[in-house]
Amino acid sequence: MADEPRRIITADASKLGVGQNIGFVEKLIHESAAAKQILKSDNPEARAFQEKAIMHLDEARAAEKQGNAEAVAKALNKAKLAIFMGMRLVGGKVVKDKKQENYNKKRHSLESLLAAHKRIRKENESGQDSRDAEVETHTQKRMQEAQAYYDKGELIKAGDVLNNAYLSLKLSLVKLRDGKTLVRSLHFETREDEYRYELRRNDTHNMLINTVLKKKREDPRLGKLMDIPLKEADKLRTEAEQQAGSENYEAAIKTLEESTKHIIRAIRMAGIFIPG
Amino acid sequence: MNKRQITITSLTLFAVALTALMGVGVVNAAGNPNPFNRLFVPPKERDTALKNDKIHDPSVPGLKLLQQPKEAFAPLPGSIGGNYINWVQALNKGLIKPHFDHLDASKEALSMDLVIVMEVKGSMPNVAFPHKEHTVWLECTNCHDSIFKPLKGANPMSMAEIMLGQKCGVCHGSVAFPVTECRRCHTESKKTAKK
Repeated sequence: MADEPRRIITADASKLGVGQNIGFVEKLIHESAAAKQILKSDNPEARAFQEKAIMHLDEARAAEKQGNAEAVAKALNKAKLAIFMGMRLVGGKVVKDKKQENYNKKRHSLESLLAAHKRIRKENESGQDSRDAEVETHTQKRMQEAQAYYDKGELIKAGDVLNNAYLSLKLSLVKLRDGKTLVRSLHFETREDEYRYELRRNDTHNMLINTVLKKKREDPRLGKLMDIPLKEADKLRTEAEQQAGSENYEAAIKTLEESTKHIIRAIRMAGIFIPG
Repeated sequence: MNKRQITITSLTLFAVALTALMGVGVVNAAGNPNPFNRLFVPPKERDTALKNDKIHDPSVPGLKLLQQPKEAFAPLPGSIGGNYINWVQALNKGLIKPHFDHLDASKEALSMDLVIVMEVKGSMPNVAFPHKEHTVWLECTNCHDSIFKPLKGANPMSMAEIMLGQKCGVCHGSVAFPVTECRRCHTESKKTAKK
């Protein structure tokens, strides 16, 4: 095993040859559409990244002269990373749309995590810490601040503020939840909910028949045997749906359970044992 | 054969049954290069070469710069399905070190060790969802709440949905181990579940 973790993507000098690799990155930095876009832009940050990329490219050339392929690869990776960073800053509409999308997604997520934080804090009433409530106030304030930046079109600042709010909320959530095991019992509010659960279970098993066992069912002898429980399962499913239609969910659940048992029987007939 | 052995055998058989889904290709969203069942390919039909993975453009010269998965994955611990790598083990053993933030290599993941046990009907063991193994790779925002609402009882799901690429199936089957590996999720004995 290598001492250092390996990256999947590498600028492997042995694949294209060192010279070819340098040429590839050189084009990326000077001639690619994105490089030209950076040059045309009045974004000093993007230009700085391009300059940084050129500096690393020079390092790669120097390393090539010394015959140090490893140093070439490292310098080229740094050059590529720098130019990609620059490209991101002048990406135009696509980048702007992406930033807006990311911001809105993160904001939406933060709102739901904040709601979860409030619920968890109330659940933990016995061991309350005043700092937990402060985190919520802090998060709300930062979200307002982020939105103000967003409304002014300052998407980077908006994203940064939102990220900071997210981090402090996440830290607090970890403090409240870390090391715990929560059991989500199979509890149905209504019989209708349980019926819906049984419907999904029945669908899952039917899916196995229609996919996994499709070819096996084509065998005339086995297919005929399997058809017996499957026809019964279909009949029971229709019956269950009718029972549910007349709001007799209790009976519908039992009928669906029976239907699923018949499907399981057919699956087992095909030589595949699955738990019931 | 004791009861435990029977359970394990039955789960293995179920895994084998689901593995047969590989050849069937339940759902393939048109034009999606990374469909949910991409990792259902049986070992004999697997071709990991980048030029054939239907994700990379084989005509791009730069493709030669990339390391082939066969070479990159060789030192990593194996698994029985998916892309045959146990990524969690690989991470825990320090064999891979993914950047948590692609723009800042110094950032470390802040993981949360919270386990959610979900009871299921029937004799299949309950599901234990470990947040820790997920939060070392992912931000909370990746799942909450576009896939899962962080609220008790708000996420009903079925294996059918997962096999169709929803809920856990958004990742499991396309970029994470597929649902053929039943025992990696259905781990919690019904007797040991605490409320």
